[in-house]
Parts: sequence; C-alpha cells; structure tokens
Amino acid sequence: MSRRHLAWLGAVALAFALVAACVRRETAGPATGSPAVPLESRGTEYPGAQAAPAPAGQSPSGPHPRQGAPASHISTGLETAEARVAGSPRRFPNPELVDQDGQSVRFYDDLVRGRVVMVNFSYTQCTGACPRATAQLMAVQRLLGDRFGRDFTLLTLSLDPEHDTPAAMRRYLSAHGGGPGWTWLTGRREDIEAIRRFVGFTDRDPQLDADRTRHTTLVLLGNDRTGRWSSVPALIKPEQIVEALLRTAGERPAAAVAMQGACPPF
Amino acid sequence: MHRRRPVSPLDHAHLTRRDLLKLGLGVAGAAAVGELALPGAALAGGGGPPPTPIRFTPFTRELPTPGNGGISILKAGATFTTDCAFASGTVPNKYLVHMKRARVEIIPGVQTEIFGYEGQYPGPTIVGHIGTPDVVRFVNKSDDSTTPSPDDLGVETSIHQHGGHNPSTSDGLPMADLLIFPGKFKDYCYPNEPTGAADGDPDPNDNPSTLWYHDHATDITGENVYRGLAGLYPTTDALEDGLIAAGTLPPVGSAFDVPLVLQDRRFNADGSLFYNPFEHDGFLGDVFVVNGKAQPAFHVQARKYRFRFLNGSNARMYLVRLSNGRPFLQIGADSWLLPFPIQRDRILFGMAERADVIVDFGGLQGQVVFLENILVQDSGRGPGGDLNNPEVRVPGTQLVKFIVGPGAPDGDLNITRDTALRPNTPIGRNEIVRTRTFEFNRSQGAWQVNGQFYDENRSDADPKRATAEHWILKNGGGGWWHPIHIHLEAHQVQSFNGRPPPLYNSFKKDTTLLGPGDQADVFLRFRDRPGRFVTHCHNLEHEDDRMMFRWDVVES
Repeated sequence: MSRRHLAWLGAVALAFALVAACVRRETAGPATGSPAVPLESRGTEYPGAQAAPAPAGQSPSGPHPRQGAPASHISTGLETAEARVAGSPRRFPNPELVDQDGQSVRFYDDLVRGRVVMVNFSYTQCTGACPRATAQLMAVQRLLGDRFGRDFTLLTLSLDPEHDTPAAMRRYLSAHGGGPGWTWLTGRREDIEAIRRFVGFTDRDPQLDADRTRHTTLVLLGNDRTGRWSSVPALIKPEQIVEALLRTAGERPAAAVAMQGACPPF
Repeated sequence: MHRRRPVSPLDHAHLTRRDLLKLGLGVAGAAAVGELALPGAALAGGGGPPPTPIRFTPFTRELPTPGNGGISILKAGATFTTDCAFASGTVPNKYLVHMKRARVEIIPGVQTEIFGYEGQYPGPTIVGHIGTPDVVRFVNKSDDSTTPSPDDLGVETSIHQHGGHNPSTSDGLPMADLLIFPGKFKDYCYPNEPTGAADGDPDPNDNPSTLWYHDHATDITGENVYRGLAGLYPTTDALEDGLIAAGTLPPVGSAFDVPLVLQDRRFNADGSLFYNPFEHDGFLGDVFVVNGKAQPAFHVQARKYRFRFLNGSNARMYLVRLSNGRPFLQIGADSWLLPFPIQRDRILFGMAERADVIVDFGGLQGQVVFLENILVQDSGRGPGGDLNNPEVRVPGTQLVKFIVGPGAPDGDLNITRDTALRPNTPIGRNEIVRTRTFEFNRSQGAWQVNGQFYDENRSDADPKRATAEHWILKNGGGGWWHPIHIHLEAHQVQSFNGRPPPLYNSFKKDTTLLGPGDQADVFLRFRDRPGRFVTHCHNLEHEDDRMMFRWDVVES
C-alpha cells in the first residue's frame, strides 16, 4: 500500500470524524426495506431509448413476474414506483427481483427508496473489465468501513440472469469477500433491461448495446432522499468514488473540510 | 393511448394540428409563426424523455439584456476583507454573489424554480477591466445567516471563469479541495492583468472580451448549469475601450451590446425544470431559451448591434442564421476579439463556444427578422452529419424575433469589414518545446483520455511555465461530437484534420469542437500560473462522467 493510499485512508477517517462532528446528517433509510407503496401508486413510465412511452399512472398489468422466466417472455409491463429524480416526478422501475439469498425484493421499494446507493451492472462469468471493477468496488467497501451496509449499499444487477442464480451470485460474493451491503440481483431479463434503459446505461449502437461483454463500467451514485444521481467510472480511484459518494450523501469529504476549516461557515 | 410514431424531421410540415396535440407538442407557436417552433428532439420517434407538456405563444416576451435592465450588471463595492493578494498591489473591485434558488418566468406566464447567481437567470453580468483585479465572493447560501433556508441550493458548487487566465485555486476546478459546500463561500481572485505579466512578458493581444462564468462542480456540473448557474463576464482593456470611444463598438452593457445566451430546457407540467441525470449521452431540452426567456422577441433600431453569442446548453449545438439572409460580421471567437471582422452567413456553435458578431438592421425598419437554428440534433451524441456538412433543416427553429423599429437616433457604429480589431500574436513553431496527443475515447461505456480514466490527483501533462507546446486533440470516434475546452490559456488552431482551419477559428479559441473522427492540432503557451488545470469535453453530461484530464503548469 502506497503512502498516498495510507494518507487517503487517514483523510477519509478524518472526514468521518469531522462530518460526524459538524454536519447534520439525515437519518439513514431503514435497514431492511420500506413499507411497500400501495399498488395504485405503481405504474409504468417510458422505459428508455428503445421502447415507446406509456402514459404515467397506468396500472401494472399481468401477473407478478417470476424469476427465471425465459427471455422470450412477452413483457406485460414494467412495475414502477413514484420517485423524485433530480427534482422531477418519475416512475422508477420497481420490478420484483431475487437477491443472492433467494429473497424476492422490489428494486425501488426495498433497495433504493430512502437510501444512498451505488448501482452497477455485471455478471458472475464476466471476464472483461469486471474483475477490475469488482476489485475497485471491494476497495470502496473497505474505505467505507462499517458505514458500508449501514449508510451506503451497492446493488449489482446481473446482465446474465439466466445463469446468475442466487447460488452463483452467493459464490461470487463469497469468493470476492463482498460484505453485507453488497446485493446481487437477478430476475426476468426484461425487468433488468428496463432498469438498465431507465438509468441510461445503453448504447445507441444496437450491436454494442446487445453485447454484454462490452457493458458499461459506470457506477450510479444515488441519494433517493434528495433525488440526486450521478455516475462515475468504476475504474477511477476508489478514494474518488468514496469522495463522490459522500458528496452524493450530502456530506463533506476530508479534503474539502480540511481546506475550508471548521463549521459553522461564517 | 397514442403511441408516438417515428417522425422524420422533414415530416413535420405534414402534421395536422390534431397530430401535434396527440404528440403533446405546442401548437400555439406553430399557429403564431406559421411553422413548428420546436426542435427535432421532440419529434424524433422512440427515445428521449417526454416532451414539455406546456404550450405557449412565442415572441410575447422581450429579450432580457443589460441594456433594458432584464439582465442586471453587478455593482462592485462589497466591503468584505479577502485573502486575495495581487502582485500589482492595485485595489480590487469586490463583488458578492449569493447562489440561491429563485422563481423566474422562462415560459410566458409560468413560474420556474432555478438555481441563480443572486437568484437570477442568467446570472448578473460582471464587467471586468484589465488593470483592475476583481475579487468575487461566491456564497453557497441564499443569505448571510447560518439559518437554513428553502432557497439554499443544498449542493456543492465551483465557479469557473471560462476563458479566464486565473490562478489555479481561483479557476473553479472540479476538485475535492476546491468545491464550495452548502453554507460555505470562496473568494475567487481574478488578477485581470495581461497574459504573461507575471512572467515579465505581458501580451495585451491576449486580453479577453467575452468571458463567462458557470458552475463546474464535480459530477453535477450538468444539473447545476442547467438549473441556471451561468452568467457573462465581459472584459475590456485599453484597446477595446478605444474601439468603444471611437464609436466602432458600443459601450459594454449598453442597449447595443447584447448577449445572446442560447440554451435548451425541458419542463414538467407544473412548470418546474425537468432534468434527467440518466441521460449520459447528453441532455437535450425541447424549449429554446435565449437569455432566460423561451423564444423571446427583441425590439431593435434600424442600426448595427454587437451580439455576443454564447452556447450555454448542456449538449445541444446550434447552427444559426438570420431569416432575411443578412450575414453576420464576426468580430470575436470565444473569449477574444479577432484581428479583423469576418463575414459569416451561418455560425456553428458547440457547447461553450462563443462568437461576437455585428448585425446590421439598417434599412429594415418595419420588418421582422428571425434568428434561426437550422441544425438537426435529436441525441446528446451530437447532430447529424459532420462538422463541415452538418444535417440541417430549413427554416429550422426560430430562436429570437427581431422587430425592427426606426433608424438610429444615437448614431451608428462605424465598424466595417476593414476595421482593425485586436492583433494576434501567433505562436511560432520554433517556440514549441513538446508535442502531446490527447485522444478522447470511449471504453466499456465510459469516457477516457488516452485510454486512462480521470484522476484528479494525477497530472497527465506537465508543461513548463513560460513555454509553448503543440497539443493534438483527437476525437476517438464512435460518431460522437465533443467540444474540447482547455482551461487557462487560449489555444491557436494550426490545422484541422490536416488542413488549415477556417479563418474564423485560426486565431484564439478556448473551446474547439471536434465532430466525429476530427483532429485539431493546436499551439498554446503556459504563462504565469503554476498549478493544476483541466481539459475536458464541454458536453456537460460527458464532463460529469469525467471525460477530463488534469494537467499542471510546472516551474521550469
């Protein structure tokens, strides 16, 4: 570990101390999901680049999705939930997905609502940029210490849902040492695709878009309490992902606190 | 429901009023001007966010300008004490700017919450003078109290004086230690001295004219600028003051020196701004806004005006022309006056690019002239076609309606095509000490420069102070357009795709637009300011996804 690395760890620790001392933090979201919104408030939104828009407020149709449905399954509509993204009312994708423990979860209601999250896409058999991205995100988890899982979570959506069973995802997590707070998600391909389109992790070139070996290494940073979302490449320095995540959460990372002196401001 | 069918941009003439209603598009504009006053983005089938569901009649609001009081000119005279120190020892002009939420009218009759410098959109104009330093205290709080207010922004900021030649710590970089967090302030020290002065070799030919200031906070520049954090910072010096005194150019901030800040916005039904941080390719609006008003009118005299165009959009480019076929007389490119005026029939603007032009309304009393954008662009990736031959639609979208009144009781500008403006000091090939190549490319769905991801703690180029270098800016392909902005210094384009650049781009620029596959070879000096700077794509969504590299000026 380089000296600079150690200095950064120290700086991050200092940030936590200072932040705890002088920045009013909003209460973190509940640890295990939020009350589900009533069905009436669910609906569909335009899912993204390839699909035609549907009017907001339309009720979901069709049966509850089940894990492992074949890719050819004809979508009967994406379940969504009311959310605010960058100050605007949006229908956030809220399909039922399955995590590495085999638990059924609602993507927005259970994993995003009220939380500060990192979201990326990957798959357990990925050999391209994924191993590096995973190593980076593990470093992010280490830098966040025990705040990871409590104040921040990482959601990884599988681009290979047919093969990424809960057992496969569990093996991947344990092989890489992913701690509680890192949730892998599988489910119906069209549901995961709908989330991918909603968050704009698409390529306008249909061939590139369909090639999961060239999927994006961007990581979304989102704070559902404020509706603030941004994205960073997973392969930038882990310290800088942490710095961006802290700002996403409305906190002041170390460097800024040190530079600007103690609060209060004036 | 009515599904949106794919509509080619040329189809719109055949759409009926009912079709437009089905599409949720404004028809009042169409009725008022006899054509559709909405861009291709809203018409293109398939992708993109829903169109703005508010209809309005364009050209019912007057263009806000400093001359008519619609844009305020910030008054110096703030009394705070500052740590800014200037070598010249001159007493600086001090300005105080609060960044806050405010409600303004962008679409006629609709109130919209914005982020504004002093609560204004666009921000107040700050007028700089070479020879007098400025200190601008930007306060990230709606007032001077420590009490939270609903008008506080609640997000961090950084303010970049675009085109300025300022110390690294006052450049407004997107770096962790330079951000202004909520409740904090920062004094930006602008020396306003000729470039090279601190190196003992001042070159007044590099004194700027049309600077602007805008947000540059890490990751969220796109949303912050979109919500309104941008303003103009025109600067004069002895030479430009002389042109003004001689009646060649109008006084800064007068009725005849008029900024035209081109922006596109999208709205929710309640009038609030719609922004989608998930549009990584670049966010496009569907309502055209000039100086903070949707499709305004401007009552002009039948005389010459100086218009300072600024493309202040996140991802939209413009190709503008006048509806009556009159040319522009371009007198400035980006921040700097040209050596002499250059006649242009139409002007292409990448994001952040500026052009100072003279428009002559002489002899047009009683007539109406439209400023039209004829560029077709339906994606943040860029317009159709390429830089030399972009896809156009005629007559395009009417951005401003000029209503020409009587002639010029105040006299007219005496500028002609032969007027000498600001000489240029070319950078000679013999001065070049090093060549560096920067390829802006995409890898695994993310942006890189030379195959590397951005790291604000790593400098990717260390030019020596008081030297000059040859930088090659390459678009890595994939059909993307990237306006590349280099901080601190003007760059002089030597060649574009191996050929001489157009005359109007061959002097000083701070932003060079690269179309798909383009390459620009530029020369630039590094004077006065050791420290960190950046070069980045000015598509703000690309920038926020960190299409950027840091470089440092190091002591020789």
